[in-house]
Amino acid sequence: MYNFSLLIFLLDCSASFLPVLTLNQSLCMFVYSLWDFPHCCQSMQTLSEQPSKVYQTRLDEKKRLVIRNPQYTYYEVREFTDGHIELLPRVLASPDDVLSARTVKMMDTAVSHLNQGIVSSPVDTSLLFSLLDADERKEVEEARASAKGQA
Amino acid sequence: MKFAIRFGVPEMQELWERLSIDAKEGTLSGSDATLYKRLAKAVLLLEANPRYPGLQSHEIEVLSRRYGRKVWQSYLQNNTPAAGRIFWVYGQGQGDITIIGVEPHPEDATSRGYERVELSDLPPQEKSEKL
Repeated sequence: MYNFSLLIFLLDCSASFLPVLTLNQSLCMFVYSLWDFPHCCQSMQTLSEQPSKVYQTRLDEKKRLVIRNPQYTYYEVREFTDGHIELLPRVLASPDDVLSARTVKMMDTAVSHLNQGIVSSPVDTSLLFSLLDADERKEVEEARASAKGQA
Repeated sequence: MKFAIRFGVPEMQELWERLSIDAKEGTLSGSDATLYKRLAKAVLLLEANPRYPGLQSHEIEVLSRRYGRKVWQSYLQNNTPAAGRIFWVYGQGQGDITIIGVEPHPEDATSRGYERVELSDLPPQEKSEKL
């Protein structure tokens, strides 16, 4: 698991004094788990080494911190026991990309086996057609016809 | 071209075998019967033409990156992603399609508050570098 910070807030108060971070963009509503990909994280690693902006800030009356000229709308917030907080920029996931953890695990195993040449024998589809109702059969026949057309 | 449809090992294969046996014995529960019928139709459509519009087949790039090969998604019901989706890849041999996963996972239907993985990506690289 990669852990690269984009911005680190160091405040002059103890960790126990810190309230939950609430920013102008309703961050807490959009906290996304990170699925790391090396091509993304390489750039993030270099970012954390030299901050382009460093400034002091304080909580306002509603216990919010302001990020000046933010580049992104959504962030993952990571709070640490020593009081520092990390923000990692996020983009909204497409509904297509939201999967069950079990499905991902299932696919991990299947692809691992596939790469070793291990898959099931071909499905015998001869009996499947009888399971379908009239509309569905028509659709399958359309698909077969369209395949012939494409060929 | 007619494709040979295979299932990923072990879970998809086991699921298909269980559903097939239960269907033969007439012991399929309501949700399993629906899943079996939808899978059967998807298998027939994939076999005939994986690009058939009703399947809405499209590549899922985050999964392609994860597995290093193109991963496609097709809907189990026309234009209704919530009804179920299958994930498949071309291979292992030429003319083969291997179905590697199904969403929702069959066990998720029976467990409360199941864990979900959101494939949220980091923002585009060039934008990140401005920070």
